[in-house]
Amino acid sequence: VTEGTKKVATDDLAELVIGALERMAFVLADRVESEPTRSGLAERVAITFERQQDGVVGRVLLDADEAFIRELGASLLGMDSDEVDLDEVARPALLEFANVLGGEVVRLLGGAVEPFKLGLPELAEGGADANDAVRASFVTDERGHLEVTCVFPA
Amino acid sequence: MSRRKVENVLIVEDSPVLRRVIRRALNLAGFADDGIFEAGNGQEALDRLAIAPCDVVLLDLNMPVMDGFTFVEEKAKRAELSATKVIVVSTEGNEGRLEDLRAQGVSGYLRKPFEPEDLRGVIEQAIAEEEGS
Repeated sequence: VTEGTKKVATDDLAELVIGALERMAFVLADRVESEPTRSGLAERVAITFERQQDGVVGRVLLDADEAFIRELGASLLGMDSDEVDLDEVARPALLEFANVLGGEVVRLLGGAVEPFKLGLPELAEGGADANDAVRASFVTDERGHLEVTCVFPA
Repeated sequence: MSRRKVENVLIVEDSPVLRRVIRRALNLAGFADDGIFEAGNGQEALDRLAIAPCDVVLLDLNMPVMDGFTFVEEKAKRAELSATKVIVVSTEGNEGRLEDLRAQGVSGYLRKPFEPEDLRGVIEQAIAEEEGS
């Protein structure tokens, strides 16, 4: 986090994502420098956060492919990936992971001391191309792809 | 002094997947499946507790309909629920808010993301603190 602007650095975001995946679901992931093809990342969810002192609002976006959300759901529930129902397990698992990541980003932004309001995670469209965004891409052990973007207000 | 036994737990969590994860973790920690109940938000939890009080409530904070903060306030108004321990399981990390929740009677806190074995520990700690008080 940079002191003046209170933004999350890309390395911090990547460390946070990898740690949360491992701790929440025992999913092992590596950061990749080259972004995966966006068209393959069909699952998108988002969660907003608002710093209550000044009403500044940001957003965390998660783009993932089917392999990733299957792996996440399967790992959470101790199932095989091919047994995972996309609507009942995999997509809700991505929503919950967005909730966890939203909380972790708020913590990085100083949420332990400054009060933030975290929204509810929801399916999302667009919005990841804002100027002031930090983005990191990941590939899991089972070749699932995830891209996480933090969008900050201009 | 005999140790208080936790026989039933109410999971209050809007994510159906996380409810399943928590139920599974409780099973692995030795809690019987027929003693584990679920609610999708604070209002559902109050409705459930009005029918049958539980020993422990595992409470998410960020939920639709009625959030966990409101649930804690509403529960405090109901004397018949005073024996029910509340443990917050949430992404919330603001020290001021957590202190307010403790002042309102919340017994324990587990921050998401958590590992399954952490659940048993936080429940046992909350009960032990009650016995020691």
